[in-house]
Amino acid sequence: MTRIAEPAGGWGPMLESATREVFDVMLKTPLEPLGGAAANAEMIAMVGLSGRMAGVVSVHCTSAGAREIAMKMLQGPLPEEQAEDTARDAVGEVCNMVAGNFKTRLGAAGDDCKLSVPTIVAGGQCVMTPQNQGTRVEVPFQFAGSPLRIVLDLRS
Amino acid sequence: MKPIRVLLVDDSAVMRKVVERALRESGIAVAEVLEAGDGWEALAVAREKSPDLILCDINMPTMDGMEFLRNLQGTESAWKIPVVMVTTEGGEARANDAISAGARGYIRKPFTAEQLKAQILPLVEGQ
Repeated sequence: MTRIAEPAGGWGPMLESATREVFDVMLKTPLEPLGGAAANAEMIAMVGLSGRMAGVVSVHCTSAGAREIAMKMLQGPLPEEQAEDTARDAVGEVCNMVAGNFKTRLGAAGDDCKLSVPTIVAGGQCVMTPQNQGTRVEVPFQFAGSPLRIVLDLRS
Repeated sequence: MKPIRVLLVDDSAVMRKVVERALRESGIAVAEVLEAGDGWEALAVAREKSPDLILCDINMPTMDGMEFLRNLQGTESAWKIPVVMVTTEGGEARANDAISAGARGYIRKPFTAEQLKAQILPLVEGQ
């Protein structure tokens, strides 16, 4: 099975437009360019890609950023007792939609690519380091005052 | 059109709320919202409650949306219930697979309330 070729402009613009559409349509909040340095992530959501494109799409954010994402999706305050669970669920769904939207932009080639269900890691300072020497593409944003990174790790 | 009873199937509780809100924003009268977190749970609810419409995700643990759809088609009491897939799987091939398996519509996430209405209204207008 042949791997999907990288577009002339690289994966970055495709990943960025896929992400922006999710935030514009589902959260009704446009993303802004990252103003300062990226903070360490306190939550990472991951969706695996397999088939003609193998790797992981991940969303890296702070706990405060995750709560903001959840509040924007629900258009209201989070239930106090379930705030953390709801924030994790929301960031996982955002990652799922970004990965799916990215895959849709691959056109027919994306049909030979499958998505996993989201996995979320939270707590402390999360760092995600791929074990292979593949390609890493990072797109940094600012969302509601919090840093947000979208990362695509592709297997070589 | 009488208010409809709708079953929302998604492993994300947040996404079920987002779909419910979009459904209400679309102007379609909703009498009751039922929820299920995977295909197994959805089959049980569909058999017991006979909703007017099912909106179903595809990528879910234990039983995914496509398997749910095939199981529903083989269920005497529920096979006529219209199912619209609401999924991140946006490719044309996946949409065609779902329609061939019996889905009556296919909505790609992210979606607007207008897109939801355009797919759903023709299915519920006659009810």
